[in-house]
Amino acid sequence: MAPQNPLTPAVTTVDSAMIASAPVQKVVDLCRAMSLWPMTFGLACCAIEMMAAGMARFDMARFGAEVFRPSPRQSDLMIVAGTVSKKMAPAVVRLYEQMPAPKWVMALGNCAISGGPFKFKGQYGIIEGVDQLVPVDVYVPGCPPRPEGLLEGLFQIQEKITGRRWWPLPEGFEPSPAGPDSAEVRKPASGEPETGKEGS
Amino acid sequence: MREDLIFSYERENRAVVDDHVSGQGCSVYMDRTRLADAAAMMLEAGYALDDITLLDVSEGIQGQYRFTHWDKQDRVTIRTIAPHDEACFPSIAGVYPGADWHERENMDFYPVNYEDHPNPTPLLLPDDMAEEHPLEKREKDRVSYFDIVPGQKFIECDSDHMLCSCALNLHSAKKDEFPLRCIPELRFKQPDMPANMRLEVEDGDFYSKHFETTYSDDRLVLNMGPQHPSTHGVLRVVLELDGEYVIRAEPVLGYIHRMHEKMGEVKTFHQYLPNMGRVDYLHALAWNHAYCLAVEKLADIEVPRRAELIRVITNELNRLSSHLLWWGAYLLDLGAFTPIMYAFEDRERIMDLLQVITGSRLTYCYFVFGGVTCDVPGDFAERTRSIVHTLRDRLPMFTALVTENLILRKRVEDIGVIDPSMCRRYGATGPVLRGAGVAYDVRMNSPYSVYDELDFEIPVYDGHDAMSRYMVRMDEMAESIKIIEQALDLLDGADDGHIIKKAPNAGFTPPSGEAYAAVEGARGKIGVYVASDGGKKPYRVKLRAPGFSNLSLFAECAQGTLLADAVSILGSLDLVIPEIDR
Amino acid sequence: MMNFAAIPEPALRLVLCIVALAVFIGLNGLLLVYMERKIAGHIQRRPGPFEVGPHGVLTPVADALKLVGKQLVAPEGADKWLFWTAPILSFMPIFVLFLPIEFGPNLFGVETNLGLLLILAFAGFNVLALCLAGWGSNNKWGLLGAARAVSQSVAYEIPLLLTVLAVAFMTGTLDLGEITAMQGAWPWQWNVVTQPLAFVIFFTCAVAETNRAPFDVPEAESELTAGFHTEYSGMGFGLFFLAEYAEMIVVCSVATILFLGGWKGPFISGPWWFLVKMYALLTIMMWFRWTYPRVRFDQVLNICWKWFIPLALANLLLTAVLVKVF
Repeated sequence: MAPQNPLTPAVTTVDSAMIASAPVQKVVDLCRAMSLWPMTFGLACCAIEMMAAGMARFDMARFGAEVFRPSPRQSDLMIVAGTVSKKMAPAVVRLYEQMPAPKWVMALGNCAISGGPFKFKGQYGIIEGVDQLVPVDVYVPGCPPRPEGLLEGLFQIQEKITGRRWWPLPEGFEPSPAGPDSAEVRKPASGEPETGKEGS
Repeated sequence: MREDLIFSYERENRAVVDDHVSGQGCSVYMDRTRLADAAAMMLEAGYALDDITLLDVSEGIQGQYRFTHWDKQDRVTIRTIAPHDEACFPSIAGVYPGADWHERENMDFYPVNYEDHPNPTPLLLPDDMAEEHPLEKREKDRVSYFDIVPGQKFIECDSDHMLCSCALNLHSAKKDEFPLRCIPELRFKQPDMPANMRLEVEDGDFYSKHFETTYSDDRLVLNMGPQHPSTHGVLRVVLELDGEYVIRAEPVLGYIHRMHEKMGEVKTFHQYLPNMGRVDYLHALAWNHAYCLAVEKLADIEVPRRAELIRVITNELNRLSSHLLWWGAYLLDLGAFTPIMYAFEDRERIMDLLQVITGSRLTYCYFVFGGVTCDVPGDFAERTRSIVHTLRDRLPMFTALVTENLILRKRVEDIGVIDPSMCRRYGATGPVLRGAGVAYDVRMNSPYSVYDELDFEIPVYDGHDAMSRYMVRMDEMAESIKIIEQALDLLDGADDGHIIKKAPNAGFTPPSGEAYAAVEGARGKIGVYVASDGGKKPYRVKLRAPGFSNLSLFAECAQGTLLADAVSILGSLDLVIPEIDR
Repeated sequence: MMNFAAIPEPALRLVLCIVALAVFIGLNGLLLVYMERKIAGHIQRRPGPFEVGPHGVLTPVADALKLVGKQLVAPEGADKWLFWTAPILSFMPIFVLFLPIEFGPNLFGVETNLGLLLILAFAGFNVLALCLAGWGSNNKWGLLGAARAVSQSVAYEIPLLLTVLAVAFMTGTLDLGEITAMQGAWPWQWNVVTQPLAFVIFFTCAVAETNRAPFDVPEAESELTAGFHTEYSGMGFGLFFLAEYAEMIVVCSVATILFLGGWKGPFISGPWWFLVKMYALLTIMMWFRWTYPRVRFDQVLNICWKWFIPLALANLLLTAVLVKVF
């Protein structure tokens, strides 16, 4: 009798690319970025904003992220939307492991980033941030973040994959000069006070 | 005086009759040995079980059993107490099957035992936390029950009350016949587990193994969830299937348990307000409302009329957006991908409007003790009216496109029969109850805020099936629109401010006491119980989630149905799992 | 006009034909993916793919290349042979299915007087592929999905056959070329006028055979995660996807030839009329998907066994009688 799990653990190998030249890699990376299929992994309130981002008003499908696949084997992007409780943690890890490479993770909302409003002294039930379980590529803060925030997170992942940003920045924001992996915080162009934390 | 009362609390009963100020109705104190009989008597008299709350005081652990009658204006709380060294109660799950889950939850959070409980396994907490009881108070934090509720609140027993006479008779007749046994071995014991969290993959976890202990060979045991495409959230249902038919279904909860009741004791009264938006994020303002009503009862704060009207309008707008999302998600479960898009379109308009007022799109934290945080802008009435008119014009399109579709009707009619007796035994409320033919709505039966001034109807359908529940919610949308329009008309004349002068500020400590407030949410009756000992933080906050009681009847309701129908039943119950798990 | 029949060497003709078909299927795969997304988008009042390439036309290309570049995973305990044979088996018969179809005057792969039989026989391979996929995945959900798919496909083949037989009775041949030749250029001369019930039944059975909504129970997402292809990633999944679209094209082509006059049309007949009719039927199929909820599985089988088969039989009987009499 097959085991109880909805999806069985897999036997996998990651082979090196058959054609290893740089232009081919660039094209394939571009295709991967423009066709990121998210996995439906809505846990709590942020799931509603994730759904709203896929709906007619914000429409993630424009950027290729249309097909929300329910099975992790067919998706590239795991959007952790909501609080991860200790009971749910093994499921999160297992789902991440079942996604085939290449895969990315977006932590949507404050709960997925750091436990959010549910972090207090003496808390016994939640994982304070999903990056304690799986490697996260993009953090989208908010409680819940607006669907535009999710879209911006998607653009940042696309920038991370391909190396450049493809879509216009919101008004008043200037691109970060040192590239997506720099630790520099994006600063709004208008006269907002600087955080003073990160230098160049 | 105090000693006297403690003894009398245990052996006789005293009734506090109609303490409407605290919102509790009648409280009957009785000995725990007589609980099962009292419960049987209540069921026969037609009372439904709302919830079972525990309160950890220095005298022991007090169990509060709340009952409501749908027709009479009678809300009864039966209170019993068990000393700390002998903390067990008889289980009433044999009488009220809905008590099964309430008692399991209590066993998770407090070191109590329920005798003869049919299934004493963890409900919300992970099974490796069986020895920890998060809501148990430390010795130095406990206060006496009489610090919370002053002794003079007890009055002589009203011998007209059914339970008082019952208790007196039972006390004399059956005390020796049914002594209470407190058997520690019957409590759930966690198996030996490593100290760190298990992250490795295993063949089935505690719940699958527990389910399989009564499983016969030619049936398939399947797990639905916790990651599941139906947009309910993290619900896991373990199913035993015979071909396509569901023989047994057991929901497993706790995957999104976010410690709301513990946070109620850790945060101050004001700091707890944002939590209320996240319990049931689809109808967040109803939870806001319930909590604010409870604390306002406690501290005897009056809310100005304008604030009440604003509360009603925003509450009903939120109910509309909740029902729209339910509709879209239900149809998505049934395989139609388009209606959810239309529903979200309307929802976005409502959310834009509410964002202007409250500042949030989803998890609102707008109500505050004494009123609302800020007043509505000048063009609010006009915008609301136009949005509501647009929505009203779209509702016939929803009906024509979806409700009258033959395929949908075949998926939804005669599915998931839930009749009134089932609702009573499980404590189901809201559209589930109204789809079973019972006209019970907290807004009508025990009106709060300004609902008694507004003219609206409660849609009730007699079909007992998923179609009736569907129609109840569709009609409720039209009724909410009516309520909003009437309230907008009244709003023009109310200009006494959006919050009282001298509203409590952030360091506010209400006087000691207990209060219970019930509100009609989109999913059913929301109850918030707040007990304060005069300190900065609440002593106990209990959140009665309608989805909890509604889901507890799923196991009985889904027996013998097809797998596809089980999904349809879950959709028709309108579940939001974070509300159930709290 | 290309005259395939004029190429003397049959082997060369076959090879050229297969190459042309491969190109046709490939391009159509991309086109249909795009069309589906756009139709879905517009029914749902949103743009659909828009940014990837002008108006989103490069989206299917991006999807295809991404799927090619995905890691291939197989579940532990899955039968390697069955697991990897399933998508290939699902896709390979497609080529055979296209061979007898006449796209235009003398524009076909293989001229055979048993064209219909060939198509119906090879369309049954899909069922086998689903079976292998479900069983080979070592996954209960996949198994359930495969079981449902098999029952559904087997059931709906019968009314399909019966309606095709009705047309065959009427025209007296199984050769697709001759069936086209027997219909006229104008809509009232097409077979749909003489066999309307057969057309409706055929089209609905076609929707059920290709597992499209409202009969997409085998892939019912909200119940079974992703049904029989839960465990497939990357190109395995891509092949199933492509096979589904290719089968849709086949059934719409067959419907066009049998009922809508094939490549004949008003004014100037030719392959463009064939394409127009085929794409119209495909659009209707896609329209169904985004409008109706899913029919429950026992209702799916009920409709087939209690409604379609008796109706198709009655239709066949009536046709036989009328053909004999007139």
